[in-house]
Amino acid sequence: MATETLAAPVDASPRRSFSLTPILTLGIPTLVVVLFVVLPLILIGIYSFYSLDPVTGLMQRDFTWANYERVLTSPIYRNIFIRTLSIAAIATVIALLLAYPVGYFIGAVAKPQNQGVLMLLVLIPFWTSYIIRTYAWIGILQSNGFLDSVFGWVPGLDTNLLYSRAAVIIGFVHVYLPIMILPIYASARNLDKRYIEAAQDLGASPFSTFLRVTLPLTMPGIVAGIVLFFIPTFGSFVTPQLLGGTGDVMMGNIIDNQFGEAFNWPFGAALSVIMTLVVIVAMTLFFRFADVEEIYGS
Amino acid sequence: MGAEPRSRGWVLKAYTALVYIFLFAPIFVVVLTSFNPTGRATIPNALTTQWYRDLAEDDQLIDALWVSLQIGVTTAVITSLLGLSAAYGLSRYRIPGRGVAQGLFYLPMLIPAVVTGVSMLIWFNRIGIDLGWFSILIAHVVFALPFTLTIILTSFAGFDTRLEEAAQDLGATPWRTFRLVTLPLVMPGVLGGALIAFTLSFDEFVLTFFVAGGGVQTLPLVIYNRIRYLLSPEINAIATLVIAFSVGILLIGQIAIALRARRANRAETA
Repeated sequence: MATETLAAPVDASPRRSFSLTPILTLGIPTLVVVLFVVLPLILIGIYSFYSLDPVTGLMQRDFTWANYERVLTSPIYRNIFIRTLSIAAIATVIALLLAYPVGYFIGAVAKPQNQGVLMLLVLIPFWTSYIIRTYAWIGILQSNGFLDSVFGWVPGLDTNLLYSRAAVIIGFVHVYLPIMILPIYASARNLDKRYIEAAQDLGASPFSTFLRVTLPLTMPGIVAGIVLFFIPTFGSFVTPQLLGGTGDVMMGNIIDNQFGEAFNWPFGAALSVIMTLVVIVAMTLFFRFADVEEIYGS
Repeated sequence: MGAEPRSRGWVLKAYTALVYIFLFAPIFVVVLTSFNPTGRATIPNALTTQWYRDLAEDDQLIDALWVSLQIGVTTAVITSLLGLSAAYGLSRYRIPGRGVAQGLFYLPMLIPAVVTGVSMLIWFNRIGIDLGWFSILIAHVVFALPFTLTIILTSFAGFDTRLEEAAQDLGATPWRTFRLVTLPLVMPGVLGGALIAFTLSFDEFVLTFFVAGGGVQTLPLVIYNRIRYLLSPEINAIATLVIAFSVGILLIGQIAIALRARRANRAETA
């Protein structure tokens, strides 16, 4: 023990350059992720080119573009694709209108000692089960539900929104609002208020100060919030399943259906690949846009 | 001019309060309904604990709760070990492929969960892993890893590496240095990461839905099936307990962080 203790400092640094530690510490988690995330994603890419034998219904390991052709040419799937994009886009815009003022208020207006508690309050609903929060909206929006029992006396007010597009959008906004507030809050907190004061000293109106100073400076938070909100919304199948009607079926429901009742894995795989590509394109576009804004802002 | 910002501040405050009401109203309704004798989401005329008593005898829900707790704890242990290992590697070494590895860890955060779920389903099917407890565990671990890793990396970022060098100069082996110097300093991050992993696993639905198979049912799966196929007022009771549990964990984490910060402050001023 004593000799080891004495010897260690002498050859510690040269030995470290040949150490297995970096390979093991990074390697084991990487192996887990490759084995259970990367390879599955590659496999689903391969499956998307397989087909089903028309007679037996069994999967054929051949190579065909037929699944992609079906998605892109059939009006049914094109409509579902467009509907999914538009529901996700509308929900994102509404969420931004709610999240921006709140994130800005907590990060830039509220007293610093209150920020922690206010953010904790935003995060509490987020740490409450997704399924339970979606379930809660069923009780609120159904006929003779909670909204009815509170506002039912108001003449002409339709509170029975369950199984409608509006219910799906309300569900999305509620479930993912906190992850949009989070980055907006972070960028509002880091906002250097001297820029705003300078703009006002130079005679800018509150509106143009907001448009030309505050908004560009908080743009990274807005973009991060939009991306974080859009991805799970676009890929969702639970919310339209539980809150939507037959006309609110989204891409996620079709994928779920291919791996459940329809049992057409190759077609479901092609839909999954298309969904992933949309998410990647959306992310790339948004981040490029954000960079441009940042350069413009500075 | 002086009155104008104040009035706008008031509008902003009221708007924020309305958004908070929107965020909390559904949770409030579930809790309220769990005590409503009608079992429906309305303003109750009386209060009852009937649904909680029913819940105690609902074996399917109790079993599912037990499964979720077991998978959650196992996920927390494995994910925090993997996260600690990855965070150590990422923050201590500059080896080739490091950036790629880091990108891969965040993949499950960026790919839609439906896609990850069905990919895992066909992969487990292809390589012959039976769907059940183990496949759910794997899905939860890779799903929670980016969140856990982020938290542990933060604790490595605020780390004075001279402490490690000092330990090594004094003759400690790399393992001893890690155990006696590094680990205690990043422990809050590891515990925070484990807590997040547990919560994410406990509430996870989409991946579980695809990789569970028929045999093992977690709590979110049972709740989902009940919501879809039958009216079951006990759902509100179990939901209330789950909400209290999740919020409790979150608060414990926050209080621990606050206490630690205060202790650190006191140590600095002393």
